[in-house]
Amino acid sequence: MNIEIDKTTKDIVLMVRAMGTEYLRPLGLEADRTGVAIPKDHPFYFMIAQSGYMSQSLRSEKQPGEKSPGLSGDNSKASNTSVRTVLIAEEGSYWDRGAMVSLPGPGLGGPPVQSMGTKEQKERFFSIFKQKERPVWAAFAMTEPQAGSDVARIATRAVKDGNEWVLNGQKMYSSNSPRAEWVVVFATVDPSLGRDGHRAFVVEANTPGFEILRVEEKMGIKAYETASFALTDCRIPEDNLLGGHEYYLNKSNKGFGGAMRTFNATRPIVSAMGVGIARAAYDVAKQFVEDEFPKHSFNRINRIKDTLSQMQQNIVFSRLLCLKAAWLLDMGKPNSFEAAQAKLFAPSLCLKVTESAKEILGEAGLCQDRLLEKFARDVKAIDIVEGTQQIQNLVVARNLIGREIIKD
Amino acid sequence: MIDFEIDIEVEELETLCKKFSREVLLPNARRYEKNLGWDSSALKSYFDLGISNLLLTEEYGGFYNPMATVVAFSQLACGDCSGVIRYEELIPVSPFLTVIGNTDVGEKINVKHLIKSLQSNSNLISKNSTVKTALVNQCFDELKNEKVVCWIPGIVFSEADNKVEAGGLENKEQILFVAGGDFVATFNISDLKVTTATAGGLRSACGGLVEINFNNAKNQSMISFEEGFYIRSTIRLWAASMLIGLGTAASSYAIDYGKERIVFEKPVLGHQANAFTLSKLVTDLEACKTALFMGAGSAGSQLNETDQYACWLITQAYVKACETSTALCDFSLQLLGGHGYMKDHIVEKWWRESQDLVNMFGGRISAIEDLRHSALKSTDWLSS
Repeated sequence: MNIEIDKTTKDIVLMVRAMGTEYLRPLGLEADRTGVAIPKDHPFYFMIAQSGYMSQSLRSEKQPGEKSPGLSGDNSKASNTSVRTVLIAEEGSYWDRGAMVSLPGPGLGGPPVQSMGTKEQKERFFSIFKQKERPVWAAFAMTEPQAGSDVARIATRAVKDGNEWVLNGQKMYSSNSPRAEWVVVFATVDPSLGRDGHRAFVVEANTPGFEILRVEEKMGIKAYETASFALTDCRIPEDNLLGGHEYYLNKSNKGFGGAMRTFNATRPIVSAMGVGIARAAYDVAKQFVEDEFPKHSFNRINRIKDTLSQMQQNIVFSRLLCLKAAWLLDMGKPNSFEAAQAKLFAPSLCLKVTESAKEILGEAGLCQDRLLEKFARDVKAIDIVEGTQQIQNLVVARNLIGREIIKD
Repeated sequence: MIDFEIDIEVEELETLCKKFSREVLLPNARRYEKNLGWDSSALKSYFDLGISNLLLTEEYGGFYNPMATVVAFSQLACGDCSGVIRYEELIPVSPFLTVIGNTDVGEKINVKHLIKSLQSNSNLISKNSTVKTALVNQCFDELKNEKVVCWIPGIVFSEADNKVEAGGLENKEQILFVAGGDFVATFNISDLKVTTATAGGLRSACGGLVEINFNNAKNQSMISFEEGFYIRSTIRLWAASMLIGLGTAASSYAIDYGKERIVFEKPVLGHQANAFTLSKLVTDLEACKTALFMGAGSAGSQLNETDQYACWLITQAYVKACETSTALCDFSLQLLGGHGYMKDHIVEKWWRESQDLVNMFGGRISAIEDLRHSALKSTDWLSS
């Protein structure tokens, strides 16, 4: 058991903090006011590219848990990429979750390539993030108009034609997809197979038949684009099937297994974003109490302190569950139960923290300059993306009680 | 680097305690409760495990280890929580001694001398244990006439009548009283009004109800918040471990029962309302456990008054465990319906014990009061 953050991670978190004050929060607020995402040619993104940030979430080719030199150069330690990403996600979201998600890099497209891709595919798709000249993005697309939480129902079809795959269908709620160099798209080779028919493909930008239909108008997290797109006779090379044909011969690697592995990696990260927002809300409330302290009665102050204490508990416990799930992944251990627990626990309690912060401020909490009403809008998304609270409940229940009892 | 790994030695201890809890305590828990104590063979096995030495610092012949405490007592609580409390009621003796032993009160009652004399008397101490007044009362006639100071660990006032609950009062002369961790006083027991009280849940653990009149205090002194917080956190570490143990046991019991019991043509846990409630509670308990482990682990080999963040984590874990463990025991009992209320199922005992643990050993309200002190601190990981 160790509660310490290694120096390299601490330095990166401090860098994100410095970036947060100067860029993430101002840009996020501007996007929230105008409803327009930060333009992809914004100088800030070029600065991010030059800093080498885009490649920070990429693992080395060593397996998770394998002893590796890592960024710190310490040979005795296993990889801590996931733990680090969780801490970075929390810190960035403290300043603005929307702006954090908008940062160039592989984003949610990274984990499926990481977990399912061949060595050649990783090299090919990740190499663009190792350059520092220009900002580049990747994206991930699972949700469809008729298939949200029940991903078994996805209807986007993939048909093999010679040495190409032909994709047809529609995807929605895909973050950063309008500016992505490539998008990981889940499609089915045979709808009658349900989840076993799922395959993951990389669709590169400008592929004929790939068309952005619309950029959504959201309640919050407006700094990045969330879009729907269509795939119409979209032909991609057979090499863009993640893992290649052989990967799917292994029963545990049937298409949905790959998606689940993606979620196991991303759920702790997304949950940590909620922790960051909750922390920001807590700080606003704390500052307010410190400023207003003399004006209130002893009893009221004690009640407020109890609320603040409960908020602290929610924040720290949420963070610990996110870190534990990420740590397991870094150790190469199964973490689907823990990732779902983190996602079940953190988002709803982080929302509760922002609500408590608003209550402490009273009407002042609704003023835009206090940011709390924005935090509440932003954090609500965390409870939905990467599997809703209800889906996490199902995953946890099935792990506890058994799939044979908790059926589809 | 952040690490959630538990040492192999601690894991081995957990296995030993689990075996003892499941194979010795649990099958006999009803009988122990009726007899208000374990039989001598169980006691011998218990002390042979060396658990008690986990709770004393090296200075007093033990090898205090917060993490080992957590894993050991969370396992033992599943077997017989009441019994464990009875035989470990002096658990906080080390933190008390560390803090109080150097105060005026400590000097006057000469606690160190008392402990050492008890330790040196082989008739009074079993092979691997140290100070065990309750054990001694039961097992060793020699001590029946000793005038031993009784410690009340992290006790809080009952809300009414200045009454406190104290175990093992029989044949004792003096009582050391710690109120909220920042007030220490000693009393002659003969000056106090003591009434017998047997708690419903922790039946074999509790002794008497003592009415305190501060005018009768022989000695009084104040200790700092940090020192008091450390004492209370040490006790809460232990109490939270047992709460987590009870919650874990209750959830396992509910799962085993709920998979078999058919209600409306499917297993009772196959109904989403039940499954989701269980999932949520188990997840909450996992959060408590993780925080408690981190608190215990970050304190290193010995929790002390400088470990204020660890104390904070432990106290938060205790508060959450109070809420979650009672809810899990309640859920488990409720899932069994009428069966859960009957003594045929152990879950009703766990329900009673979890309810009572919330009020003992520092108490939930006292813990919440402590947390107020840090309510305005930062939640920033880097400054923790």
